[in-house]
Amino acid sequence: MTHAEPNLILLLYSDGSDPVARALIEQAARLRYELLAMSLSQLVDEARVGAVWKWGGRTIDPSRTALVNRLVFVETGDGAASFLESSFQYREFWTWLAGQMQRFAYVSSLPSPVSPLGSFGSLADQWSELPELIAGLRVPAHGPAASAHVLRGDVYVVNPWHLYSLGSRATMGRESVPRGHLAYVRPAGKLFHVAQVGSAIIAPNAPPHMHREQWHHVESFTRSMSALSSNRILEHAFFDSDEVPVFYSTCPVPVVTGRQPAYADFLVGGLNDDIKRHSERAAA
Amino acid sequence: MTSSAIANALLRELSFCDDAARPADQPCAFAFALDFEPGLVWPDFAFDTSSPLAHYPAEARDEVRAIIGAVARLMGTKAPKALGFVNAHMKTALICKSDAIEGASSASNREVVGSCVLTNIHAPADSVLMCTEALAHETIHQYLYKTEVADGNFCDLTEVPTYRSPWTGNRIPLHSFVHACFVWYGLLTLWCQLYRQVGGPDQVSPVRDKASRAMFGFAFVRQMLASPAFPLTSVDPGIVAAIECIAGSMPTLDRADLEKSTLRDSLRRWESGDWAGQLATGLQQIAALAPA
Repeated sequence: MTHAEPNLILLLYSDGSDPVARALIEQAARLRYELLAMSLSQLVDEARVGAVWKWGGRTIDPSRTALVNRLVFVETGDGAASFLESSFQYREFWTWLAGQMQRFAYVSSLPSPVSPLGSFGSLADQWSELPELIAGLRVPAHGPAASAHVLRGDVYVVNPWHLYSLGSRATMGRESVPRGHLAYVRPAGKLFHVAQVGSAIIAPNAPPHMHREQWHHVESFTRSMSALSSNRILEHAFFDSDEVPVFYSTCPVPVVTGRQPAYADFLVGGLNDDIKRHSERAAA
Repeated sequence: MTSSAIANALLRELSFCDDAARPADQPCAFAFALDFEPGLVWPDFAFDTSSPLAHYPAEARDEVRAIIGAVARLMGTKAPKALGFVNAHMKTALICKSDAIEGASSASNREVVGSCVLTNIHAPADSVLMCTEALAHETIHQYLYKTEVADGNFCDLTEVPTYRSPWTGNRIPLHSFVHACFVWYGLLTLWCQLYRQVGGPDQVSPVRDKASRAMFGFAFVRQMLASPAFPLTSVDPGIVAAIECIAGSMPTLDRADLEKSTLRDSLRRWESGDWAGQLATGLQQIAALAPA
């Protein structure tokens, strides 16, 4: 064992029905390291979180612990902050988390300004930033909702924060378009989803007719994401296409693939591998 | 001037934490002009600032003047360096009202250095604090524009790609993000200064909340700068160093307290504690240690 190799996986979770939290708790015996699952309320009301964390008679040394961040509550909006007494406390909790998680030997995702779980933000963020980072990535043609009339094709209007909504066809008058919405040209094909943990991927609903080049495009995207991103657990959505698939969104919650029977096995294997690779890189 | 000298000047000039009293010859009033009937069409704006529809009727203007007067008194008595700063760099405020903008808003544009637009400032319940923020915010932009004209741009001025502001959530170009770091630094120093000067929980609480909002964004700035998506080489190295210096000075929960208390109790104590006062001292040190 190298110095950097963790001896514990700490799962911080806010929702027991989150597919990742549920799978890890159910499959704890198959993880390479011991799993300690701590709920949000246990973190806030029971643990002592100083230089080392102490909880339930256990001492958790961040430098020897892999942290799996599943604090998914913020995705549901401001009301989710009600576990604390004020918006001030919630902001301070969030920024404290952002600093604290960087002390761990491994972290599955770091909080971002838009989410304590960490994410690539809205569809607008993703469609703007990811093609800059990943050569050849195709995203839908898009613009502010008010520009829907200048886009050509099957134009949809969507709330860019609803990563799992395709929105609705842009038939409404410009004056009735909700503020902050996004217009995009919906590609012709069906959506399929790719689960990613580190460099491991599965695509249980990928279209059977996908040919090698198309699949190579997806693999290339996920390799880039693995290299670029501090978010290790993701689910990507692509539109099937005659050419290379068109990227729609990436989300830290495996909403679709997490329901598949194979997901738990995939998650455990991918996480074991990602933590090991990370610790080997850190020790090198 | 070297880039670090420019960056250090920013850290000093934009710090409104200052124990010095208002000079006796400085009135508690703003020197800039209030333009209630602007002829100027503000560039790239949500409405036509020259349109009579965007002008306050004559009978509504005293309310706006009263708000701005109260801001001047607040700055003059509690944050005199901020009042002097506004008077040095703001020449004209276009005062408009419009349904095209939701609530109160303010704007600057590097094509119109020395001026800003204040829209719907009568609207919010906390109009004095909102207007204090707006005037400090827009005056900082004027100072930054002037500095860039004199000493060169802080970064690439291209409009794309855009980055998400960790303060507002808006997607903004690189040059706006760089400006935002200094604007929020200046605002943070202003709120900390006011925190030290205002009395009573009713006044302290909103000021402390505004300081906390300013501080929040800085918790993520270093992460943004380190991101592969961020064009670090397109920003002047001295400016990057100054931003990192600001971001590194943000306080967080007391670790010693966390050793013996729950997170909930520590957060409660932190909220009611003197973190803003300590931060004010830290920010003053940053400004003082930035050599000319």
